[in-house]
Amino acid sequence: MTAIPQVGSGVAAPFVFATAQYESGDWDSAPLVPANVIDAIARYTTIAVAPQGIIVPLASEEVFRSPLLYLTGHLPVRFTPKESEVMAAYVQRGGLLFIDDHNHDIDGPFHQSVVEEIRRIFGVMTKLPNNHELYRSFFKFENGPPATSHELNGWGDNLVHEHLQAILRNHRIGVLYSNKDYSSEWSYHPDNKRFLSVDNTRFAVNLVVYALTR
Amino acid sequence: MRGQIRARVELVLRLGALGALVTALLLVVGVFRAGAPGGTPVVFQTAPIGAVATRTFASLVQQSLLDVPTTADGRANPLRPIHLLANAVPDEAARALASAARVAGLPVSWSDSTANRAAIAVEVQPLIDPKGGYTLRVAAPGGVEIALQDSLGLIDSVRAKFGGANLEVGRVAGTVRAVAGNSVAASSVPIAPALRRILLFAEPGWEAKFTMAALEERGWIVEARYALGKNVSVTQGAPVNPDTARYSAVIALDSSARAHVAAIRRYAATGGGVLIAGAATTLREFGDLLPGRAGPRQSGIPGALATATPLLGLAWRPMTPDSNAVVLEHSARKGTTNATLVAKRFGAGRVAAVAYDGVWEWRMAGPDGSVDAHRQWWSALVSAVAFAPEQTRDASGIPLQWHRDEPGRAAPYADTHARLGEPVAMPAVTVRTDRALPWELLLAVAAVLLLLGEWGSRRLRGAR
Repeated sequence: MTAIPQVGSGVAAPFVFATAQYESGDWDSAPLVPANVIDAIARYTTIAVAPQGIIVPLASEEVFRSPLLYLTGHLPVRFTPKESEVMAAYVQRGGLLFIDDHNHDIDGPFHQSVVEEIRRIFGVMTKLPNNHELYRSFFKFENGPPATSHELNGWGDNLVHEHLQAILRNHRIGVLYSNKDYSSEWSYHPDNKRFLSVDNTRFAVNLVVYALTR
Repeated sequence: MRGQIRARVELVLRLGALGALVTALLLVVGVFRAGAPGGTPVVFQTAPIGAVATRTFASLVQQSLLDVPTTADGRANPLRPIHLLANAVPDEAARALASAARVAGLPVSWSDSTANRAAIAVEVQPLIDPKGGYTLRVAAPGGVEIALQDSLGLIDSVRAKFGGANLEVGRVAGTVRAVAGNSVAASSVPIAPALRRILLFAEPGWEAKFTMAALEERGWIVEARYALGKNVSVTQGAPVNPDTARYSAVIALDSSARAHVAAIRRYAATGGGVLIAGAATTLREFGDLLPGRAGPRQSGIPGALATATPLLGLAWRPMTPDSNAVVLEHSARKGTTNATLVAKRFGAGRVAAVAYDGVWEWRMAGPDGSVDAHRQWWSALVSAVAFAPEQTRDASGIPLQWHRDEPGRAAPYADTHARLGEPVAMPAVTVRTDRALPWELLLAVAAVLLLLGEWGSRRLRGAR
């Protein structure tokens, strides 16, 4: 893992992909996602990106040095008071928390528990319109969030979820919640992209570009 | 015997009434005043009513100009001077009249008996901020309590320190008045300036994101174009070349501004505001547009970001100002006086350079309240350089007109100095106030009473 440049070090820090580590559940269920997203950023853009991601304890102040945070899991989630407090402050200050249900199942334990936790900490999520600027921040996704192979193959809840959900702060996405299971979709070695006709990590590029520019 | 005494008393009463009537008549026609020796000033004092009654003062001026006393050989004496004893600042009309009298050749002097307590002035300046608002600046001697009012009533009161006080208010209506005792300064509320967009030159990154967020949350409209690859860019808004017709300010955060240096220089020269921060302060291409030279980048003080002085925790490049630049802020670090904010004029515009780098960390990792502080900090920087011309039309296209104040209205004490010259010592004469007793009336009443007494006496003894 890459060390985060010290706060105030003056080093023009490249973008570092950060994964949130929380106490309950299985925060590390998609270990290949960071490398794949980093590969996509380097492949399509000129954004300076750290070659490796970092893991940030959700209850620590280090969270505030990573304004984009990726959080996923399969298992029921119950954030500690400190984690809840940090998450609330993180979003209020302008951070973007991307939460993906690794189960792709609206009846799954992660979905049910994390949605309840989001409601407790941030309030009720709203559907993100499919013409939101997130879907054209780099690549254009005319129909909103791209469907995953897990949705199309009928796994999980056997549904294609039409929208992502979000908590908006000052007209910007503060929390982005997906139960499309991008964690499974992007969890492979980047070298294997050559077998894909269309790179399915392109939406990750949109997410990072949105986070860095909005 | 008694009858003779009574007749003599009646004669005395008649003569007394006659004398009172004649004296009152002479007072009315001004014989006594006109008879005063030429050169002896007539003194008017401005307190306790706060100002000389303009009509009285005007009649005095007129009389002094028309009734030119003459000497025995027929030569004209010098005009009778007028002296204003200013216990409070004369009102606008009195100042204008005195000034006109001076121009007409009438000697007018004044002595300042306000003990400098009346030396107040007020200015209303609109804030260069999308949230609107005004700064009320009051100049006054230290310790003076000033009540600030607008047309709707009292706004607040302030105590002057070190020559004045400032107050920021959201809205004011009509005319702002600063009242300190008997002294009043007033200023009309000017029309708010026309604010335009902000153009941001930056690479995609946290600094760009949070700079834009801070300004947008404050109400600015920010446009940007982020280069993300060969022939690939992401835009925010519809950015075009910098121009004062569209942008109030341009912000350069990093080397992405290099390709636009010529346009930015042209923009500044024509009146635009330019803010250069972060790595952009090291761009040689800016040349003399930069108000200072940025030194090597230095780390922030570890742990300071979460303290009450979070800026000390940020990385920075100490600035050395150019000879034609001004330092607006020095570093608060011990042992250094390096500049952290320098600015200068460039053509018709203004340019400021900020030493700090990665200011977004303040917002994310600073103490409570950092979000607001970061937002206000960026907005204040932009306001300091922004091109904000006066609005000429309102939102519906109707021309706006602002009645500009006479200078004397906003600063009456200074205006008194300007019109009447420096104050002099009080001359040794009897002070006349415009509230003097109405001697003419008293004498007339006395005459009537005397005549009544005389008539009553005669009727009681049976005479007609």
